[in-house]
Amino acid sequence: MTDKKLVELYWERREEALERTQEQYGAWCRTIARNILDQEQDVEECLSDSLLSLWNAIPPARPLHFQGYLGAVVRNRALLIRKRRGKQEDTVSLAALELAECLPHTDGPEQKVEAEVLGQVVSEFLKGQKEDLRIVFLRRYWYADSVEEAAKHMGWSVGKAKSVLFRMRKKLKVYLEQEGWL
Amino acid sequence: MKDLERMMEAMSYVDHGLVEEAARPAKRRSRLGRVVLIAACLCLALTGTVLAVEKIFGVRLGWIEQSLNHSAYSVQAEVKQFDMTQFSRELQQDLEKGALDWAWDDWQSMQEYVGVPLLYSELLDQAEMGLSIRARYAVDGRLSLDRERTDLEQLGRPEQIRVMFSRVVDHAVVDIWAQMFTEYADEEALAQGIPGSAWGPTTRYTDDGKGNRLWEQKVFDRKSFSLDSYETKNGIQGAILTAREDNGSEEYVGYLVHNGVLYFVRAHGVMPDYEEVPDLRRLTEEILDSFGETGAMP
Repeated sequence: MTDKKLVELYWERREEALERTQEQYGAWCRTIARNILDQEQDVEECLSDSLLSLWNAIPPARPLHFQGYLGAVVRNRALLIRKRRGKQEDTVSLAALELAECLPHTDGPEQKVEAEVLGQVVSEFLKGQKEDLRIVFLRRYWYADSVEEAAKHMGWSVGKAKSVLFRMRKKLKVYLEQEGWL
Repeated sequence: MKDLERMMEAMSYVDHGLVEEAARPAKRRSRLGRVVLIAACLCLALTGTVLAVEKIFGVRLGWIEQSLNHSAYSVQAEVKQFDMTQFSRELQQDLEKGALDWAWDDWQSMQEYVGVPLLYSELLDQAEMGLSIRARYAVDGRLSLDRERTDLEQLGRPEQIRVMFSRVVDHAVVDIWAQMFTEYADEEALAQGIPGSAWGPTTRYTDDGKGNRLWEQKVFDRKSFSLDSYETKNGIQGAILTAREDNGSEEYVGYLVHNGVLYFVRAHGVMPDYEEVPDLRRLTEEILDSFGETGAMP
């Protein structure tokens, strides 16, 4: 079933939408959640919550990229549960730590809005990069793959993946400086 | 800590299209693939005929993607990129109009409509229709290389034209595709391999007693893949892919490549009224053997 048809099912409020979503993207969503959460119980909670959020969000939302939208819902939910569980020393923290080097250091009530705009700026940066570069970047910093997993996804050596990610972070920092973020 | 959370949150707002792009298996060229391609080039240079390459190489495994609960693979085959003018004028006109799906009741009508000569199977032509595809012969023309539906702006420029049909043979449901890659297909991606089917894990549901359906998905989908060359009784080059789960269960996909067209055969289900599971490997071979040339072309 195409994503467009799947979105239509949500709009028609047909429960088949949830079933189809699980069939088509269940394994993928689970992988995203598992990369962020280490307890299976949390993963289950995340997936159930995400489906409910999706059901409530569509309509009114009509996502152009359903799979990416779904992934973002699962990722956000997983991050929330992770935050609730407290500090964890794992690959997600390491990935965030690497990326945070590129960021301005400000805190405040505008943080949420800023995160959204910053996400869009990062998107623009990625669209200007070669396909394999932006994929490895997202594998590491969106999907929270370990460097080894990201390298495997690309069919690269770990050394090459590390090197490419390092250069990408440097380029992102320069880009953010040019855009007035730093 | 706040910076870390902020960065992770910001990443959640990254364009969903880019996230989808990164979800797909990365394009890669296996070492074996490189060897095959180099050998194919050498062979072409030496013999100057595509036919010789087909007979030597048939179908091979390309890349394999495996994670905890996801498995995928590609096959490399000597497929052609068909110029759009090789398809029937009617098909070309429909594409220009944006008509995307066609259904035909009989082989001859479908064959005339497609224009590119396809292998024929009397066994399948006369078999009862399967459940997977709601037409006796369906033709699809809005597809990318990996069978994803493409965006509207790409209408009329499909990377592949596909003929699909589903039949019941020996109480098993069998899906068959004939994939014809077009001039619009990404040449490099084609060389790396044509993505095969990666089956999702078995999903299970339970009820929480309050009318809510709980998602209980416990069956992982990690499979290993192997490919055996297979030459049909009619001398057509092909292969049978075996997807083996950790628990030992196996699924099979048959491939044939003939005159640049890739044929996909997958026996995947048993009719509800039939309890005995047929030997799907033997059935796959039987179906591959049933293909032959029709001779006269429309």
